[in-house]
Amino acid sequence: VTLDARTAAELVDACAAGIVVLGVALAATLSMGRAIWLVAVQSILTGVAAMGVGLATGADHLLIGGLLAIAAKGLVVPLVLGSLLRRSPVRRERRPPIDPRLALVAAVAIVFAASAAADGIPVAAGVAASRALPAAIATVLTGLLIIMTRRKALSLVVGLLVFENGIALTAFSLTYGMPLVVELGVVFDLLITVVVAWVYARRMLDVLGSTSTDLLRSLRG
Amino acid sequence: MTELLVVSATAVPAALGLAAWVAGDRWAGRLAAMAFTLAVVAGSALATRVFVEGTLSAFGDQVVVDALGAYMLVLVLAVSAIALAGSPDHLAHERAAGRLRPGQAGRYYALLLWFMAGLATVPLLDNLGLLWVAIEATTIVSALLVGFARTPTAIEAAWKYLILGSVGIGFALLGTLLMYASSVGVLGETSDALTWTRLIEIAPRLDAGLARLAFIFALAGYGTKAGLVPFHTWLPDAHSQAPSPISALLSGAALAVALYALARFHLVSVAALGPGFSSGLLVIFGLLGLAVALPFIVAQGDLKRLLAYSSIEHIGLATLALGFGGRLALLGFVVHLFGHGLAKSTIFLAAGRLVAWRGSRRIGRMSGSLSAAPADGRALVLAALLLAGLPPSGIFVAEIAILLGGVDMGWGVAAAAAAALLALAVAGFLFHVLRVASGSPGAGAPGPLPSRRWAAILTVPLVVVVLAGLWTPAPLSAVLEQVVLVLGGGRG
Repeated sequence: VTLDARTAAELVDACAAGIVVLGVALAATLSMGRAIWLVAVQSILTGVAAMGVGLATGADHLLIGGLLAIAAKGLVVPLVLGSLLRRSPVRRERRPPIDPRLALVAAVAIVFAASAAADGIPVAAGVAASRALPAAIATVLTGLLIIMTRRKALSLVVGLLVFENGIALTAFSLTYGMPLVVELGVVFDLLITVVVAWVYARRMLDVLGSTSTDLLRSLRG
Repeated sequence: MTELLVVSATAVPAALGLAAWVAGDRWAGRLAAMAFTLAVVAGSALATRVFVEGTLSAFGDQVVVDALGAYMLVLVLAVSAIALAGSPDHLAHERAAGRLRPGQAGRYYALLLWFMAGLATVPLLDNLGLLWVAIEATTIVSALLVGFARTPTAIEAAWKYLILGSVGIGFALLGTLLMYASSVGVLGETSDALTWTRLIEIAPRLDAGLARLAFIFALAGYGTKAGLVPFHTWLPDAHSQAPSPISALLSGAALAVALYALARFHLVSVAALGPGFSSGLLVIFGLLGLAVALPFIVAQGDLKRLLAYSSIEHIGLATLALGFGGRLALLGFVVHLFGHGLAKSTIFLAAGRLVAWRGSRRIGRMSGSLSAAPADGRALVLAALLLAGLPPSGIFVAEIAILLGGVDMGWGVAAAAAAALLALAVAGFLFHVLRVASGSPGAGAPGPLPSRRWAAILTVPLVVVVLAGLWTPAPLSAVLEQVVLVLGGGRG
């Protein structure tokens, strides 16, 4: 299967748009169950976009990397997070540091700011997906926004995943992604990070009775 | 031959780590000692060959070991030796206190071996993408070690470390990507566009805007791992909550390895953009580290946090040295990293044992350590004097070289500010350590702390640091010159 450059660019742009919309939704939702499947879909879109670029340019490592990302971030990670959620007594963010409506506004502002910032940065010539880089920057920043505005361990991991999706999108909008061996390493490291986060979230449940990082405030100075 | 040495120094110890996990508590310690001995033999042989014959490469040039890489490898192995030597005692104490569950000692040694292997791999890699993967792997493994005690504070520290470390390392990945993108216009989409060797060769033709952005992201990313202010907030928690041998490895080797990664970005940046841009940033962040660590050192009440903030201070100084550049300051940088690595890891072992013995880490409640626990108390005081930069020691020589080198390179004001900040920090640091050492243990203190084999573990590295300030054998000074040559942008 091959794609011509125009179709690929349209595919990547469509995925990028979806990734941004999902990012905004993730920044606004307080339900952790919804957040898990939203980020799973976002990860799958990221993988599909990578495969689109791979099909158009003949860069096989992007196909493999994309498939791997879909399997790892779209399937394995959500299952791990879902199992954690089932053990957790609380399934919603309570008392978020900023109002979710404000978070929504902030996320939308980030999208516009990213569009402006990405002007003038050269993108990979093969697939002229013009919206991918601003979408990538917006997604990285949305991930940071989620990490800063959530208190639950699980929500922080979701934020980290959004951040990572943004980086992946940056990778193949600036270049055609990195060499395969590096991408394999990146995906592997991400998986292990999520597993370790899962281990610690379970310990928080065991030792502290909650995964709210509010309880983690004793180390100061 | 090179392949065999590289694998024996990194992959084989990691595989033996897996064996230690499976083998369980009884055999894990012995397996770890075996794996480590192998790593030291192979690593020393590899480093010696590099110093004698020049840069070596292996595995289709994914592995390229120059003098700087070899030097960092030796540093990692030396600090690992201290961490490993301190581990049986730490585990024995945890077991006696009933905090060690069956199987945990095996896991501890497995994680320790993986951590060491990861740190040893980083300086050998020529591919900056793989270097990122290796550093991220050490973050994950060490996060499990930081929370090893499973107390609420240890979990908190590990959680912060994992999340902030992941965000930081995400920025480093962006920096890596941007560096790759800046070279694509010259090299096309090839994998050797991601190697230091190629990047340095073509540096003048890199896309300047992307290369500049790449350095900024690398600074934030690897700066987080290295404990540069303001990305350091995880560090005092992680370094103070981790088991002490792990604190030793984190402070003595992991920070230096992250700084090494940043130094490689700096070298490409200097070759691509000229010395002004990245050097200026490094000087600013170095001074910031010295300035921000100071009040936390002076007002510190927790012994292990005091040591952690001292690490932030020392990493600030090393970053400053890297920014100054020039032969003298870089020589100081190289010697300082090693001296700090040995002295800081040793003082963490001594402090850890004192904390475990007193059942408190509050400085105010630990007085009299010198009389009640002579071996640990002496090591604590001696290491503190060395870390404070008092002569004679390698650290003293290094600090003088850095400051004079800075003046030489036209950074007189920055060097003067650094000297003033260092002097104040030294006063605060020594004041707290002497409070712990002096006086009498007071009523209710536990009995004297036995120390037979232990004294040697603490003394040897400190004696090395003292000797380094008195006498540099000719082969060693040749090695240092080679490392400085690489750091100065020359070919090692």
